[in-house]
Amino acid sequence: MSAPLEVTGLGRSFGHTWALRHCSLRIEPGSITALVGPNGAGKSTLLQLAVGLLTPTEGTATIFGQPPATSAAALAQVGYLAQDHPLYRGLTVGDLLRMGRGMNPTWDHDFALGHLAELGIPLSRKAGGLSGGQQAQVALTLTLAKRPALLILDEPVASLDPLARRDFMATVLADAADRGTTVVLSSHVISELERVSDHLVVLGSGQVQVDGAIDDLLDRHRILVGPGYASPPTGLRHVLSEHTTERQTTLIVELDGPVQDPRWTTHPLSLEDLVLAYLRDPDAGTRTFATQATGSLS
Amino acid sequence: MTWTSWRLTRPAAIGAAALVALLATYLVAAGHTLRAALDSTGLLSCLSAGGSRQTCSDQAAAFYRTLNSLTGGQPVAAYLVLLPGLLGVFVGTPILVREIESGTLRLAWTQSVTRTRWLTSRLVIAGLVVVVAQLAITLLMTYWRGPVNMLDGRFEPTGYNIQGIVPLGYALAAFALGAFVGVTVRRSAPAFAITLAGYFLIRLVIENMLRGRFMTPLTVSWVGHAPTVLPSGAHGDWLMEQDIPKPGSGYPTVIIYQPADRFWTFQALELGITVAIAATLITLTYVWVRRRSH
Amino acid sequence: MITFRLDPASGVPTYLQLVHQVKHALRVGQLQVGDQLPLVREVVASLAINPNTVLKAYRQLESAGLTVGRPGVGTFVRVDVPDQTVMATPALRRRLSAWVDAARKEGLDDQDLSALFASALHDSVAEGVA
Repeated sequence: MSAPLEVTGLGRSFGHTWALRHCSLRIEPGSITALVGPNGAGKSTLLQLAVGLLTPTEGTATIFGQPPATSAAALAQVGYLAQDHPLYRGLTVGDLLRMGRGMNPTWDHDFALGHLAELGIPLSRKAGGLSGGQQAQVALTLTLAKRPALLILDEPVASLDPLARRDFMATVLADAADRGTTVVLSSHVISELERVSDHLVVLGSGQVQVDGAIDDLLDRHRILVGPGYASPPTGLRHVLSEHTTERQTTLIVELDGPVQDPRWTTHPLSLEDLVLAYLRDPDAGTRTFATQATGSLS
Repeated sequence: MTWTSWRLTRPAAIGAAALVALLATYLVAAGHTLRAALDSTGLLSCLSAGGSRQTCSDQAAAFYRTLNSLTGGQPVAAYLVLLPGLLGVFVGTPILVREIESGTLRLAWTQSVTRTRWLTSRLVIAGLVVVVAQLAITLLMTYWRGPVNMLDGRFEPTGYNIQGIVPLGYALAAFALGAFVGVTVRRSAPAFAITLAGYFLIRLVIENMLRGRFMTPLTVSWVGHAPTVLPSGAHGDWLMEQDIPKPGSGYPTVIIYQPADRFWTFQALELGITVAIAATLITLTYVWVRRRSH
Repeated sequence: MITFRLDPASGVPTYLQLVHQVKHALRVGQLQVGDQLPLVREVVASLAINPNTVLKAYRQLESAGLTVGRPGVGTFVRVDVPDQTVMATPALRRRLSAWVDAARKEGLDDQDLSALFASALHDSVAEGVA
């Protein structure tokens, strides 16, 4: 089966600036992938290339083996939600549902009505008169009622308050639980992603820096604390950062196996620290982590 | 998709309908008064008895007084000439530029409808609004202008521009230009400004540089006694140039004109040119939408 | 039926928190044989967590023999965990209560108590390894 999303050597330039370059990724079916990176790292560009809103300058993107947005059938498989949750502000919620129904052969009207009723969003209200959280939910409802096999969310909760964030993500995740939807969501806030996603892609300055299963990533990376000015122990695959004083050396490393050297103690690393370490690591190329070890923490 | 396109075009359609209603209240009433004035001033009977504008000048003067009292001295016909273009610009320009600005293009283009189909649906529905509104406007303008045609004909520029099939052509050209400029300029205010400027440029070029050359004009010239039948507005001719020398100078009097029976040929040619411009711009809009990213 | 909760600051992976909560509920008798665990969708919607995380926790409970999954129905408790711990050893519990009282008299607060307990646990594990 073709991957829900696969990009190969993907690049996009605006004028003389590359927003994204040499990007290769494969999203596994049923996974929930967090795409993280600082602002301007190319996250939006990558997602818009994936749904065909942008055309690549180089390389290819395919969705279930097909180029995106070239046919109605290809479009029907993907749900996309832009960061600002765009809606026709002058239309009522009911009008918007009718639009979704008219433009999507796979539309699930009962789901849309049921979900909005659950949230208490009246169909007669104009979209422009809804709160930010409600607008996000209406836009998400339009996206989900299409019944997409792949859901692409660009910074979906960035503009929402904590309660609206929670409700929004609960809707997305319940859909993933119900239908096995593959989800790719971007964010520059890493802290909330750990409980939501199972795969992580880190983009930094237009390039993929980390790509792997989160459990696997956390399992392979450690903070090592050892004596001052000590050289790193053997058996490391990669040293991401090194901070040393007279008394103590602190390393963030990717392990190749257990650290045997008794002078070093190992500590687990939070996802946020791991991401930051990669974004700061000047030598970081693309590091892809196989997903075979899912569950290796157990 | 059709319903969605209609729903998104509805505000423009309501605006166009309001414009038509507003015009109707003025033009129908004014047209009615002018028709009555044709009778009451005796102009109609004078003209139908074979009189000309010169021989019926008293009646004509009375009729023009009525016309002026209705218009308040304003060149209403010159304002009406602007309408087809404004209608096209204000319906055509927002179709893409508003969606680009508000980000809703990303909503529209990620539904299960290809961009080409989406664009076709939007353009056809909005285009129909322009066609229907413009046909209604043309009918109203023709009714209003009818009595004036008796004196000035419909071939001289003001009459020609607001009657027949030419206004529809200009409305469509403005509509297509608006759509194309909207998708290329991507911001509302400059898009409207550029579309309006572009539209007037197209219009001025056709009207002032091309229209007179659609067919070679005819010429009458004489020295001394004038021929009995002269080309005139009242006969529906378009007098392009009149060279009247000082009496006794010995130079001939020259009238260069387009005869009345060429009216529909000219209208058809001009409609053809404007529709071709519209078709080219619509094609470019498709190319842009398909090739370019949003 | 039990309700899951998460402690984001604990540093314990989410799926393990779920596993621990089920085990705890079994120990204290809150869950008994035949009881159903919340549906994956319910847990996902109420906690806003990844469905794969819940599935992973449930798989682990199942492979530990504590629960059994019935496809299309849900996950059910399969065994009674022998009441050997807290509830079954009143003597231990009494001594711990006495220790807590004594510590409070020394002026220790709850955090000090936790730290002291964790440290004692750690030492005993370290001795066991050595």
